[in-house]
Amino acid sequence: MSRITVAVSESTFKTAFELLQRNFAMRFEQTVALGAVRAGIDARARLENGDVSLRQDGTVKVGELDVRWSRLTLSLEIDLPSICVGGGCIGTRWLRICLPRYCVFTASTDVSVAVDLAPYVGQEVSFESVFAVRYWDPAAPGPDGPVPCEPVRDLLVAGELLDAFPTDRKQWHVHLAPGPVDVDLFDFPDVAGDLVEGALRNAVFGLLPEGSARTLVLAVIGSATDLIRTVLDAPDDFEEWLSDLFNVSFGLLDVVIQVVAAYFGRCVPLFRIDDPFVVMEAEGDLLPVSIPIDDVKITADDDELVITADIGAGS
Amino acid sequence: MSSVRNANQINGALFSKRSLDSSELAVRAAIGHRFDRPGKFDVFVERDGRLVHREAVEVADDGRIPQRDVDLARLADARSCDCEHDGAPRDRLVTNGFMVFSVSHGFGRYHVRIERWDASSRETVLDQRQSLPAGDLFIAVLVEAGSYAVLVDKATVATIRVREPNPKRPHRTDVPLFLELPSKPKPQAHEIDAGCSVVIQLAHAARVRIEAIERSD
Repeated sequence: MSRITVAVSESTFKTAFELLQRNFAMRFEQTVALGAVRAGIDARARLENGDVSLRQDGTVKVGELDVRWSRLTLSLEIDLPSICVGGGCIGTRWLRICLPRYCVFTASTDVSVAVDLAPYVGQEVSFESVFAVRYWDPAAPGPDGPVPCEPVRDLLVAGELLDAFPTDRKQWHVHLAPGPVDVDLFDFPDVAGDLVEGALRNAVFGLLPEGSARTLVLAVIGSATDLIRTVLDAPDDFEEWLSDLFNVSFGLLDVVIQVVAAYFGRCVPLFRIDDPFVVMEAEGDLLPVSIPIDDVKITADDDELVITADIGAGS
Repeated sequence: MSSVRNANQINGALFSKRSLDSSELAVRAAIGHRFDRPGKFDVFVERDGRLVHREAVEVADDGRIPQRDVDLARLADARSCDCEHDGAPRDRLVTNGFMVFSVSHGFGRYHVRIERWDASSRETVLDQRQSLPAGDLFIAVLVEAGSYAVLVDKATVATIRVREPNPKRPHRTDVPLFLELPSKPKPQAHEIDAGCSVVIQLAHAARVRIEAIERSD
C-alpha cells in the first residue's frame, strides 16, 4: 500500500470555491395561513461576491456572501370582513323588530395580490467551515439531512451547472462542512411595505364601484388602510410586519441557513475523486489501469490544502 | 413588479341604483309582515315568476317566536324548491309577530304571497305585488347620498336626504328612520346617514316606493 499527497494552493482552492458558490441555486415555495390571510412565497436565490480564506488552524472562513433574490414573490389572499350596512332595531306598536343587514363582501377570499419584493431586500451569509470527506456509493447514497440533496443537485444538473453524480462508480467527495451559518434578518425598507400595502389598497378600491357607495364603505371601515391593517393584524410599521412574515412565519431565514449548510456540507462537493481512480484509459486490446483510493484525509493551513490518500495495487 | 387579482366577490346588487319598491323584494328592499290574527298560514315565495319556496306557519296567542327572518336569496340558492309540505308548520309565531323577508345578495326579484287557511277556506292576507297590508313594514336601505322621495301609491308623503359619510367621525348604519304614516300623511322631510334603513309602516294597505330625486354624485 502506498500513499499519495496532492497539495492545492489557496488560489486554486478559491477558484474551486467560487465555482461552487456560483453554482448555488435555491428555490423555495410555501404557503401559510395567518387568520384571515393566506400568505404565499415563491423565492429563487443565488450567492454572489463574498470572501473565502484558508486559516492556519485548518478551517475555512467564508464571509459576506450576498444572497441575491432573483424572485421573491409574496402573494396575499385576504378574506375581507363582512362589512355591512343597514341593521338596527325599531320599536313598533306591538313588538321590537330588528332589521336586515346587507354585507359588501361575500366570498371566502375577496382580494389577492402578488408582489415581487426581490429588488428590495438582500442578505449576507457568513460561516466558518472545516473540511469533510464523504464516500459516495451510488448503491447507498447515505442519509439525508433536513434539506434533501436530490432536488438541489437536480436543479444544478438541469441548469448544466453540475455534472450528475455517477451511478456506475464510487467517489470520494471533499466538502466544506459549515459550522453555524450567519444570515442577516429580512429587513424590508419602507418602499417595500408601501408597495405591498398599496397593492392591497388598490385591490380593495378595485372591488368597490366609484362614487358615494365607495365613500360609504370606506366610511364604515374607517379607510382601506385601516381595513388592511386590521385584517393583517399589522402594526403601524407595516415593514415590520413584512419582515416578521419572512423571518418568522415563512421561516425563510432558517431555510437559507439549512440550504447553505446542506449545499456546501452534504450535497455538492468541492472536489470529487473517483474510486478506483483510472490512471490509464483502455486502449486497443489493453484494459484500463485503475487504482483503488482509500483513507482520504484533508489538512490545511493558510497557504494550501493538502489531500492525502492510500492507493492500492493497480488492477 | 406587482400584480393584483380580485376575486370579484362583492355584493354588487348593494350598489344598484334602481328604485326600491314594496311590490318586489330585492337587495336593500325588504318587508316585514305582521300576523295580526292567529291561524294557519301558507307562505309562497316566487323568484322572477317561479316558485322557489313554500312553507307553513302557525300563529297563536301563546306562540313563542316574535320575529322570524327569511333570506330569500338563500332559499333560491338551494336550487330545489321544497314546495310540497304536509301543513305541519316549521314555526309557531306569536300573534302580531313578524316575518321579515329580505334578499341578502344577487339581482333576483322576489314576491311573497301569504294565505291564511282552515278546513273550509283560504284567504290571501299578503300579496306583495298588489300592496302591503296595514301594519306591515317596508324596509329600505339607502346607500347613496342624495335626496329621495317616499311615495305611497303615487303620492309623495316624505322626502329623505341621505347624508354623505363624514370621514372624520365613525360611521354607523344601524340607526334606522321609522316612519309610521297615518292614512292621510302630510309631507315630511327627514335626514339619515348613508347606509341606514328607512322603515315605513302604513295605516292602510298601499304600495310604497322610494325614488331618487337627486344624487350627490
